[in-house]
Amino acid sequence: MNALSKNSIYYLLLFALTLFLMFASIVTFAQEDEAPTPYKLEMTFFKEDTLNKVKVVLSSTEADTAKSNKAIKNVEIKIYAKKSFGLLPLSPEGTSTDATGTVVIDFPTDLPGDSLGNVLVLAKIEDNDVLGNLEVKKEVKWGIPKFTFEAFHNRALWGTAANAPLPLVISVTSMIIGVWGVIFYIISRLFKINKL
Amino acid sequence: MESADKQKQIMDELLTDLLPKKFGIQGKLWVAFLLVIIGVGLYAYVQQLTTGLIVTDMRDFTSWGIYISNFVFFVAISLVGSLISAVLKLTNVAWRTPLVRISEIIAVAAIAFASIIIIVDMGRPERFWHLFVYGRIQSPILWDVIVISTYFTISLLLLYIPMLPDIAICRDQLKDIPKWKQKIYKMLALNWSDGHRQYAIVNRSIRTLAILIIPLALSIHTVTSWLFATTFRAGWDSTNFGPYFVSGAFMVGAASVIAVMYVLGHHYDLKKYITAKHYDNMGKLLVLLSLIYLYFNINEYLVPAYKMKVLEGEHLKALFYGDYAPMFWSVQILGMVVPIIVLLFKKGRSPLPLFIISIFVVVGAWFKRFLIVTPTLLHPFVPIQHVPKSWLHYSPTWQEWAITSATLAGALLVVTLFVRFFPIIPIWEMAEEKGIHMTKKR
Repeated sequence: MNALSKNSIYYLLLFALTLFLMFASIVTFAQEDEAPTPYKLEMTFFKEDTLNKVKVVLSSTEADTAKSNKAIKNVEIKIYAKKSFGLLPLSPEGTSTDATGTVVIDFPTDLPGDSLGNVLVLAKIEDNDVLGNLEVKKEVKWGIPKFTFEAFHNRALWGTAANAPLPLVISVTSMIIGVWGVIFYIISRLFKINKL
Repeated sequence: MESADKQKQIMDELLTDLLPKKFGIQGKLWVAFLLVIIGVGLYAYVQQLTTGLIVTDMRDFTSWGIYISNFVFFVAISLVGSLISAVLKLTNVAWRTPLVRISEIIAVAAIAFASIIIIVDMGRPERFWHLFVYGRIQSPILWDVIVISTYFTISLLLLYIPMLPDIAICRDQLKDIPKWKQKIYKMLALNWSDGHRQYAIVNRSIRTLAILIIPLALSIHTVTSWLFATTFRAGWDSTNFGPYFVSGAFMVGAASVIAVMYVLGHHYDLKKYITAKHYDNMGKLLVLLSLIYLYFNINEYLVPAYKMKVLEGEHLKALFYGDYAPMFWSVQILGMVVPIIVLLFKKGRSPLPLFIISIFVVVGAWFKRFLIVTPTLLHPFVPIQHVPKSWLHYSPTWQEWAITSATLAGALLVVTLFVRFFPIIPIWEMAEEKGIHMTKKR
């Protein structure tokens, strides 16, 4: 029987180790993905007098009835509005859940939204020792509809070639026609000279 | 009216003096010298075409360098055509006759090379036609393209139409020349036969073009100034720029005519036609134009210097006592103040001093355009930190100097060759001034 060489054994072990690591990582990440978090964030919007408010409630969803839907207090929650690139903090620094697991903040009155005024609001728990990362997002129509500059579509100095202001087009064209008309007339007189 | 014999004698004298002559050794050396400069420029341009604009020292900040300074200089020079052919004609200045053609050929050569240098400044010259196809009428650049091509056409007509009787004289008088030259004269002369109806058309056309070219001349340089003045840049953001450019252009144009008329007058011995009176009058005209330009310079620099807004202040400090101070003060003093002082005196307006002063004005005017274009670009609005060092300074490369020199040499070559083939002083107009009727009843 041909015994395996030392090198072959080394490669075989390395191969087996790689397979094991791949398997283990897949199982681990799959488990993480699938593992249901026992906590949930709920976001609601409401009006109080004339003010718009964002309310976020943190609670437990564990099957244990004693713990189920139980409020969790003193957890820092950050509330953001989605910008074109990045997030705009809406909650003051250090905003944490109260005894009922709730955070309520004022929604700004001057926040720009999309063309319909929609703003995507996010509530996040970031790197909490117990809860880890948790996020909820929801759209609300409290933003100022995005300003669309209609002038770009109208005739203007900054418009495209086809959108040049009419007075400019008329004056430039009439000047060109006037001056070049005279030039062509004079050139035609040169032909006349040739015939005389 | 002169007797027939006397008239023939005057005409013969005019023909001997003013018909184009073959180049002597000096003329040939001069043409060879210009061709060498043009050759070096072409070699540099081939390098620029193959490697790209990286062979220049133009970078993100200084995106307009000596090419654009040269363009503004050429446009400025070209205004002289309208000054001598139109303004002096419409104001009935009789002594202008021997200078008309000199000024028109300078105008045509200058405006042609102004267009060429713009193409040289383009990174992708093969896309030049995009300007016409995709141009926006809102852009001053397109206005400039329109007025320059119009001005070039009118200048060409103002050169050609008054020259018809003289081309016919060349056709009829120059017999011992190659056949191809005879054919060209014949073709260009348009069957000219000194008919009174032909003269009537020529005179009417000249008058119409003379009226038309004045607003166009003002437009051409005003629009060129708007390329700068319609921005917010320090040193350019000025409502004074149009008249400032136009007055400077008339001044350098007059100086260029003086320089060329001195050289031609001496080389071809034209003292009978370009007399001390012409130098004196052109000197007076130049000092008047210089004083007007001085007035606009005071406005252009004193008013912003009084306010010293942040960026404007930086720009002015660079000119007054910074990097550009030696050039700025040389240009202002040698190219404007000294000419004004010298030309106020009658002796200063005699031929040689006037010629030297005119060279000062022309050279000063070239560097003045550099001072208008470049220092402003080195003070951009965007933060200047953390940019490559090469963006912060501009010193033209040898390729830029070679190409720019080639365009200047090219313009001089056009004038030189024109003088070789056509009468530089209008023979028929001089004959009419001397009482000879050129018109035949036909």
